[in-house]
Amino acid sequence: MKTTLLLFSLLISISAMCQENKKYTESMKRNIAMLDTATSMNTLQLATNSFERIANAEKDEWLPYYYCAYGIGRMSYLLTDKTTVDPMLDRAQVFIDKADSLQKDNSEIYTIKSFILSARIMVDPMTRGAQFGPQSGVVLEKAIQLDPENPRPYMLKGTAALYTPAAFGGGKDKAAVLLQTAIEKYKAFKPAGELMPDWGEQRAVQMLEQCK
Amino acid sequence: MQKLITLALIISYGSSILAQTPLSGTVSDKKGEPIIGANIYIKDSYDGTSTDANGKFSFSTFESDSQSLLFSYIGYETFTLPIFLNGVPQELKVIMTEVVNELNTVVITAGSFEASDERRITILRPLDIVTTAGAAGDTYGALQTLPGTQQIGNETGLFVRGGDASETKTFIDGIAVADPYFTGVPEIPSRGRFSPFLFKGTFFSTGGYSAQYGDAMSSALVLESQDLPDRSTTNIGLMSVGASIGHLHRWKNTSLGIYGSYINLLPYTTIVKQRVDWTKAPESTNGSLIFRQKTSKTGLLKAFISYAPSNSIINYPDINDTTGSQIPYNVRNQNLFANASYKELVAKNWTLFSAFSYSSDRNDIVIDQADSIQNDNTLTQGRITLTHPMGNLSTLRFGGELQHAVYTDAFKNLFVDFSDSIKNNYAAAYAEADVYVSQKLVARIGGRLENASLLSEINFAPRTSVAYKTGKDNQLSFAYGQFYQQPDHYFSYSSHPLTYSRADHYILNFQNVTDKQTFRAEAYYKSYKNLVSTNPDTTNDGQGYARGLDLFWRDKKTIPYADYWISYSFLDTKRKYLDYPIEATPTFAAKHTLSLVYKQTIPSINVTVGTTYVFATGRPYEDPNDDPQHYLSQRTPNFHNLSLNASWLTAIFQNFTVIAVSVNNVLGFDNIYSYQYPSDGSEAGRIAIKSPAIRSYFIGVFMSIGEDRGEDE
Repeated sequence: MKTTLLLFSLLISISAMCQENKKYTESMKRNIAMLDTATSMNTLQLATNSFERIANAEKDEWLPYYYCAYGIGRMSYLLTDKTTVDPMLDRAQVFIDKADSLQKDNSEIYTIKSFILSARIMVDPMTRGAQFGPQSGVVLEKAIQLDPENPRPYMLKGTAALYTPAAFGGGKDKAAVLLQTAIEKYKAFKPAGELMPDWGEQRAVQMLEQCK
Repeated sequence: MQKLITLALIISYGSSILAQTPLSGTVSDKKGEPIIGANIYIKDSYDGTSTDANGKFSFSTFESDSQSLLFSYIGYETFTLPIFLNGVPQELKVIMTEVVNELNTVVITAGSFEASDERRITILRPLDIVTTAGAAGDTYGALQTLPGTQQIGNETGLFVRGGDASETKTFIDGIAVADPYFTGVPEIPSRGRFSPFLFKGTFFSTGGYSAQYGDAMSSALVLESQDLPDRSTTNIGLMSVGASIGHLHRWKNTSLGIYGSYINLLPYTTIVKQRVDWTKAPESTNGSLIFRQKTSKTGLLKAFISYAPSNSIINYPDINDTTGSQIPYNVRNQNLFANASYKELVAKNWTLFSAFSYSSDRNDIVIDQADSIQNDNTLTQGRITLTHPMGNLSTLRFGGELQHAVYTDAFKNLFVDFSDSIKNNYAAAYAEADVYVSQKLVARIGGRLENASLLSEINFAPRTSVAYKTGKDNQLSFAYGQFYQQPDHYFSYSSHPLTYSRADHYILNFQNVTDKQTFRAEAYYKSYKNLVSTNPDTTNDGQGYARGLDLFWRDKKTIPYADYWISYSFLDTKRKYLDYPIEATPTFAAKHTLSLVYKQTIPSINVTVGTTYVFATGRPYEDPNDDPQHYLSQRTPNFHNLSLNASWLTAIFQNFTVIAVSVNNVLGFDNIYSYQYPSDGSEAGRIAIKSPAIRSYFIGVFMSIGEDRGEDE
């Protein structure tokens, strides 16, 4: 009788644990889908808020922090008042640093770090380009070095090249080569899990169109 | 058995089945405006939601008992509300507070112009300095387009608000620079020694500055050098006046840069017609080393050493000789400047800054092959500052500095053979607190104790500022301070014991800064006491005043890809000093000065073109025929200058290259800076002092070879 009782309670706690895990996976999947299709400030805000809530409950997972930073980074591009860009990116930086502390030397995290630095340029491209452009480039190189098969750093590198004048080492030709590489890598890329980053392919194709 | 399972289920899920609590409410800011998209959640749980377009929210949670409900939104302090969940619906009303940041907090601005990439609200950025037409890539040239400065075409230095050039002091990483300008010949202004690219921040104060800086009565130019660079680069520059080369290597936590330049104006002065006679056109060499070491996560060590010898010979017409004979003037200079600084967080909330420097400057001047002048000055100095934040915004800063100077001067001709040396020890201690009464009101209270061994007297200089934020983008500030300065060491050779000269500043400032536009108005009054007077004897009996209004408007918004600024200065000043027989408006003060700087970028071809127009009313000059009551009562003609520049960003062999061209005084205004009279005072014999050439031209190609060109695969 005692054994049965013990067994049952064990079974119940395992099922509870599974339920918890399922809750995490389901919530993440739902939010990732939301983030992938979001185009408006409002939807991005709702998605990043949800990731922040998941991060709040699952403190050992790096992915909620990662998506939170990525979502905020995307929001910063939609801001019209450029004075609000820096405070927003400061927050994105806090989240990606959290992710970095949970998952060291991860190519995807370094990609977002570079994404945040690039976003800072648009506050004042004339003066900030020279400062944050190279910094963002160095971090991106690190992302490639950590995982040469990750297509996202190539996509960001191509995008940066497209918006950088040829004189500064950018230009359409250079961008096209990088984006082509990114697209090839996207084709071969298989995310390590269903919640792992898998964004940007469509963007790479769009960017390549602009290079023509 | 059945019962047991039910029991276990109840134990396990008990709380969640028993109570689901509905929570709803509104979130707004202090003004009552709804906050849209605020994140609301129960700590350590999944439960939560975001506010809608009306700032409203509602959700239900299975959590129970005592919990924390968190409200977060970018730009606002995260708000934690303790809550007890027991199934009873709760309606909440939450007001969130904005995070304290630069945009919504008042800062001390009276008297200061700041150019940096660090702070987000700045008036000029480092790049602005090098792209300003007429500045010729010189920091001091660019600062002359700001209000409060004078256009003095025949003397070296910055003349700020009625002060002479010695009243402006340059500081690099906290260290006073004894000789910030190249040593040149009289009546031709010299450039600053240090490239604007060395610095990440420029803080230019036209008055009322911090107690950290002293021995300057009018103005402080505080330069902060670059931190660890992002990557290794090699730079090559080819100019119409010389060449430069540099290599900077970056390791993980260390960087070392080595730079060399050679400037020779001979080819240039041969091609471009000169109104002066150069026997030896200015020639200078410069070698420098820049070292950076990141000592920890928060510590940075910087070291810089620069050595520059220069030589030039110019022939001045002998004003007292009608046969047209000339007086050759030869100046050779050797300048060494070395400094090191270290900044580290030494304890929780305590930042230590320390700096050490040694510099020497040696001049060998021979006039008319007969008079020989030698000056050999060395300055050794150190500084320590501790900074401690108090609460959220306020800061306490204190520290001290020591300077040990040795001056050796020799003057020799057929009749005189003078040689002497003097030492001076200068010590100062300072303390300053920025006290925030609220986010809208700040007061800076500080003071400085100074002692110079040559003057054997201790003085205390109080400094205060108050700033109040009058609106979202604007603020009003007031500053008062006492500023002491030691008389030039030459006066110490005379037997009269001297004391410090002193200026008191009263400044009222209003500024409105938005993302792309800046408006700034500043009115000031300065009183001078104890100025050195040499007429009839060398004493501290001189005095004077300066008052005026400075206006500044900068706009990067109205015209696409354009950036322009307008500066206007009104200056009313008089002083009795040096050999002035009466109180008079000094030679370096124009009543009205107007500068207009315009820059236009053409992105399609990567070209930026710029123009600078400067107007100043005439300045006083001395006519020896006037009786002493009318000393300096005559004015030179008004000054006009129009300069153009263009820079083209391109790639040469895939290396980032800037090609820059500039022309100073395009329209060929024949500006007269002053007049010099022969010893008999005859009007016919007087000489107008003008720039060495009516126009000046510059062309340069600067190439930057970056090392990690990973994109070239």
